[in-house]
Amino acid sequence: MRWFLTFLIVLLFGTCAHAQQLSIVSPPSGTIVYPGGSINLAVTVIPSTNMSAVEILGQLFNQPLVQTVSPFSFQTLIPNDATPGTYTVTAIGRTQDGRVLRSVPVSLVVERTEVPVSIEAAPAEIWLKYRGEQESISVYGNYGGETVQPLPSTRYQCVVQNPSIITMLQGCTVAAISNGSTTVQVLSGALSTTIKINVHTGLRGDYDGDGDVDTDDVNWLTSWRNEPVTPTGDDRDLNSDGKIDALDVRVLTTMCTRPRCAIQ
Amino acid sequence: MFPGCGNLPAELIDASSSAFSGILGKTSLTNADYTTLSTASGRAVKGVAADGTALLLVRLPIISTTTTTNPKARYTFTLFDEHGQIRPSNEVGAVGHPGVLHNDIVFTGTVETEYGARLDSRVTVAFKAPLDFARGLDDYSTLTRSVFLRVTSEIDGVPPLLVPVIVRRPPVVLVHGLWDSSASWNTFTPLMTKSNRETMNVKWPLFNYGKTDHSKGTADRTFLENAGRLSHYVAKAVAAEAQAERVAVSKVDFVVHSMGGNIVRSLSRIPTSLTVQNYRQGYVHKLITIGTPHLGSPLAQDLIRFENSCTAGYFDAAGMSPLNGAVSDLAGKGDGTALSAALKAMSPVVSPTALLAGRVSDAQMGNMSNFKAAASWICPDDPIVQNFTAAAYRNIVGDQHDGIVPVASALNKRQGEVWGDGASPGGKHSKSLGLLGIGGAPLLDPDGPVATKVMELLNLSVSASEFVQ
Repeated sequence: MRWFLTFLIVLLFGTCAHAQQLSIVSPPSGTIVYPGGSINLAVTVIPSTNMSAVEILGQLFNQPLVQTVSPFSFQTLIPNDATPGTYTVTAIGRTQDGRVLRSVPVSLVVERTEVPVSIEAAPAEIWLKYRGEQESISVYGNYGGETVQPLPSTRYQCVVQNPSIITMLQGCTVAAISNGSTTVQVLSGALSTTIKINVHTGLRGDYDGDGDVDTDDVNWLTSWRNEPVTPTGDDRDLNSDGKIDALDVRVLTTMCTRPRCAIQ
Repeated sequence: MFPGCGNLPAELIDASSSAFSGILGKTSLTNADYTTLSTASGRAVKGVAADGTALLLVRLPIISTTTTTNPKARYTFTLFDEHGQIRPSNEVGAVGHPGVLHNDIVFTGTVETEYGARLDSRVTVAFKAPLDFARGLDDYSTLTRSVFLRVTSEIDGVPPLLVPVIVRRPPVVLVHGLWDSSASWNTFTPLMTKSNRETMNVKWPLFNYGKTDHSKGTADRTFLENAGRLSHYVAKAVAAEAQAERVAVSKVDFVVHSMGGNIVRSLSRIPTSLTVQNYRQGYVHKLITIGTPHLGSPLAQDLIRFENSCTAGYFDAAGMSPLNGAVSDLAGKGDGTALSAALKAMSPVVSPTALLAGRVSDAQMGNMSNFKAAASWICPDDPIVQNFTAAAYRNIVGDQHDGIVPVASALNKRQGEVWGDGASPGGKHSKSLGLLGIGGAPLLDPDGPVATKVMELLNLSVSASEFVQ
């Protein structure tokens, strides 16, 4: 049902190369905005078409922004109570002959105007049990008093002390490479905090780290099917074909430490 | 120190290991089993999370006072709280024979038991975590407390041994709702304030599931797909808490908003959520649902109807996608009828679950006509658009609702507290409903009545009347 609906939406909202295109031409995606600040969103239709209305939609705004007359330029305020974070906004419009056009979303990053007095990272310590296991580090700004809020990813960077043990994927996500302990330093301007990372990979295929390979591990691997592999090496990709799929599960069943993969 | 054991301390071992799982379920133990329980390596800990499931093996090193003519010496294990009082066993835990089934170590008023020491170097008993952490206001803002195992011997002149066991508050896992992100909890004070996260320089064990940006992370996936990811997340959260605090942890307290409750109730369909770690009982110690559509949402049902396809695209453009995954699973009339297959497949609402609902008034929906006007420019022919007014919206979601979820659905057709309608503000499903022109404070309002209630529920016994029994 949902695939059919998706197909229908594609038809209704037109994505063919030669069809009219609605675009948010400014501001560029990733623009940083502040609660209470103003922003101007400009939308174009190419080729020029008579539109009944063009709107800007997004959870950042308290209501749809509507214009019925070209040029479609939307001057508005970022709500004072906007929670810091990344939001997407999309332009949508209806041509006078009844076709609905829609833009590619652009993202706006809401940040606090204040600078945090300290930063915190979570989790405070990370344990990884197989090569390729990933863990994302969340970074929070402490703005004094009772206010602790996530820092936008543009405001910090993560540095690995020993890259032979873990690697840093996009953002602040670490992935296990080899056994050992190291640290990740999170830097935000003059502020920093440190997280300890421990990698202990045991028996191959023992994903839950309980000392054996059994049905629990098979179920666990099955639940990761069709997920992307960690590019720096991944113990879930048992046949090393760059995918986590049923073939890996089949390989794992041959590695069970008891008959019929029995759980002790 | 124990008779004849010199200065060797008692050893607390987390029993959630495959080394012990085959033994703990046996009704009759062999000598080899006893040897395993007494000597097999395991994770040494200081205590347990008060989740009613975590299990310790308490090993006492002894030099046997037994002889072939007197093969047994008896030891008595008695549990006390930190003040030396024998308290209701829900509060202190339970001690039992390691050979009985895990569930048979029951919380009765009796916390004293006797064992015949075997001709081993250690005597081993099982200690099962207390069911509740907080015992009233004294524990409201603390993270740990202690209980003691007092071990006495029948041997004359031998002083008793006290074995301290740290009891720690179970981890709390927050699960956000549809069209939302983990950032939705950022201002859910007091739970999320610094002072509550840090007590005695130890952070409150809070884990906030999901991405921090307003991505479509949960909306693009079905209940089942979301539950699979949540299962991995909780397993890691439990392991992290266990490692960091050196305690045995099996379960967590879930505080969930909206579809987060449906995802948690779908965990039972994920084989990996039943693990050695939680003795195959699942991860739920306590579930607190806030505005969860247990019986579905009629809005979801309407948005996926063919004749409202344009409006579905309109919602999608607004970052509230009904096109993939989750919304189809949320379809239901909210009164228990027309449930989606995914709603039917969830585990039942069972103890201990607290159900919190919100309600908005017609006055709070006064600006919905603005949304109707905007949507009408783009989707004038969709029937659903005509219902986007304060008066007509009840044609979609009924008379009592929080903007998306009928009260009956959030309460699973039970009686319960409902927030909203002036006297107790904070009844709107989520902040993002402002886009639809629905005003008022959201359920996750900072320092709102729901936030206060959640703190209370986290500190109540799972047997309290607030939880579905």
